[in-house]
Amino acid sequence: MANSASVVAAYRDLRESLATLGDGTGDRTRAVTLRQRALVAGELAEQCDGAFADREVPRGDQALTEATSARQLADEADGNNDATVDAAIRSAGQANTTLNGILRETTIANSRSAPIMDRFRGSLRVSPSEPGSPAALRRESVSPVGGKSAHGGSPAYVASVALLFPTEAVALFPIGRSLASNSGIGLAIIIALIVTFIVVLRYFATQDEGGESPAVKEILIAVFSFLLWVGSLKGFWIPGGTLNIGIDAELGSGLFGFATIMWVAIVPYFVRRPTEPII
Amino acid sequence: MPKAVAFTLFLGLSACAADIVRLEHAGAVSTQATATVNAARAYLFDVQARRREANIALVASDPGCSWGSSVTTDTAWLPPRSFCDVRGIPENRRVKISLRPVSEEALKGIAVTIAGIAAYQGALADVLDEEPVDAKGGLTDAIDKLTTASADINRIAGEKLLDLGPLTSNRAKAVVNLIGTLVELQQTSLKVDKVRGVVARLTPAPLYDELIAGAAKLSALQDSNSTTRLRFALDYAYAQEVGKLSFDTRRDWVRQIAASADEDATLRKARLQALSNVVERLAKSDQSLRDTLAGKFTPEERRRIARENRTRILSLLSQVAAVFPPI
Repeated sequence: MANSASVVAAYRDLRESLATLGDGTGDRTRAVTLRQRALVAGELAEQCDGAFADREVPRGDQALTEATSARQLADEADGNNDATVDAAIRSAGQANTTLNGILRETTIANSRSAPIMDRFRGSLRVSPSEPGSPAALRRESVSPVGGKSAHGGSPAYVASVALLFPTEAVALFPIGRSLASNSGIGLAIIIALIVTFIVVLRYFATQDEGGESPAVKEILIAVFSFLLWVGSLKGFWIPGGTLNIGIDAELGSGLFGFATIMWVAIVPYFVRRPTEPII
Repeated sequence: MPKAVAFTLFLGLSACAADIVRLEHAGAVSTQATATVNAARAYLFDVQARRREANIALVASDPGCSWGSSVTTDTAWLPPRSFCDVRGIPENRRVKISLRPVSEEALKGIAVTIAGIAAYQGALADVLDEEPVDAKGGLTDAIDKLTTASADINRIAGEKLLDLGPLTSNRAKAVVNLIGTLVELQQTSLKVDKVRGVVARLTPAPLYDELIAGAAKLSALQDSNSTTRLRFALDYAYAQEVGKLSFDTRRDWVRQIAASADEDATLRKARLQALSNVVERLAKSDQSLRDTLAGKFTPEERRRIARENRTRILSLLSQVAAVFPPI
């Protein structure tokens, strides 16, 4: 991969070299062809700049190498030597085809995945992804669900509770337990499945705008909250099952329930939300 | 006149003459910022206009192309095939050439810097355009009412209970003028405080570099692409038609091609340089404003401040003397 700035610069330079060679080429048809390659190289540079804006370009290295090589051929070509001009034309065409292919693939990939992923990313995130990032700014505008907004100077507590407590898993567990019946192994599998679901869902839903940096702390909190909840529903006490942890089920359930409420009430304060306006 | 009054006046005046210089600098920044915003907008407008002309020429260069949001060509295109004919060409070789204006995304950086500078100019202009309170008018009205009231009281009482005679004459006028001048001094000082607030709150210096960098990028990529398109369109159309043209038509055509070639480097650099010059002047004016607000004046400004102070002190002393002639 190569940074889009370097790819854009390489194709911009290629455009210039081709245009210069076009100026010095005696054969009119070849001169026009060189200008077409220059036009396409410039257009692709523009598209690449718009599509990647200083990010890494997939297969950008290949495009960069081909553009640099084509530029070199154009710089070294003699305008009155048809063979060298043709070599420059071919090489530029190849470089243009490569970058065009990359851009087409990106466009198709984005059109397939971007809308849903864009809505999904960050939807369950509590802590700011990065100061000033679009995701952080968007969260600022939607954060006050019940509590004060971040602009108000204190955490949006109710929103944080709702985001950190895995309600989807809490709803799933009773169904899973009835499926497992009295099988300890079955219940262990159900719990493992639900934990996996929590982790996978939150891995993507707590990513920042760029699809990176999931909020690991928040994922762990959600998993721990779920495990406490399982205890409060006597999930660790299967009559005759292997998960019986040796404490009376009623007492254990009560203790887990108490711990769950305490945990859910306190934990939002340990996940930092932005407390000052970012802009 | 008490010495304390003169001393107080002197202190007030020292600040005042400097404040006038500061306000002049703020005015210069406001003017330069307006010029910069206008120049940057005109630059963007030019970029879009050239792109449109290039696109029109591109479509017109080949009967096989038609106007729309884009035309599609082959990355390995070879004449005499039509530039826009991509039948049978594999997908990865089909490249779309956009015929839309330069995208908003590409202009976003430069547009944001323009908006930032415009906001700075707007905030300064708000302070500078603020109308001063008409203290003189209010005072004259008050004195008129007081004079009328005293005359009425004296008439009703049948004797001179209140002697406000001197206030209705030159002395009243002098009092009004003196207070008016002092209010003016105070308002100048208040304006400078507000300018100081604007300058502290908005720091546009990084925007100047951003604006030039954004314009340079636009020039090197999008604007230069427009030139490449235009040049291709002219060369391509000429190559197709040259055999059918008369000498005069060929000459006109070649003239256009030559103009397009000149456009390539010289004019583009000149346009960018013109914008850079305006921004440079704004940056200098802004720095001068910040210097004067920090009390750093040029020797020439110091001399001017001293001269203005003398003039104003004399003027004020004469106004004070007019208030207390009989004392």
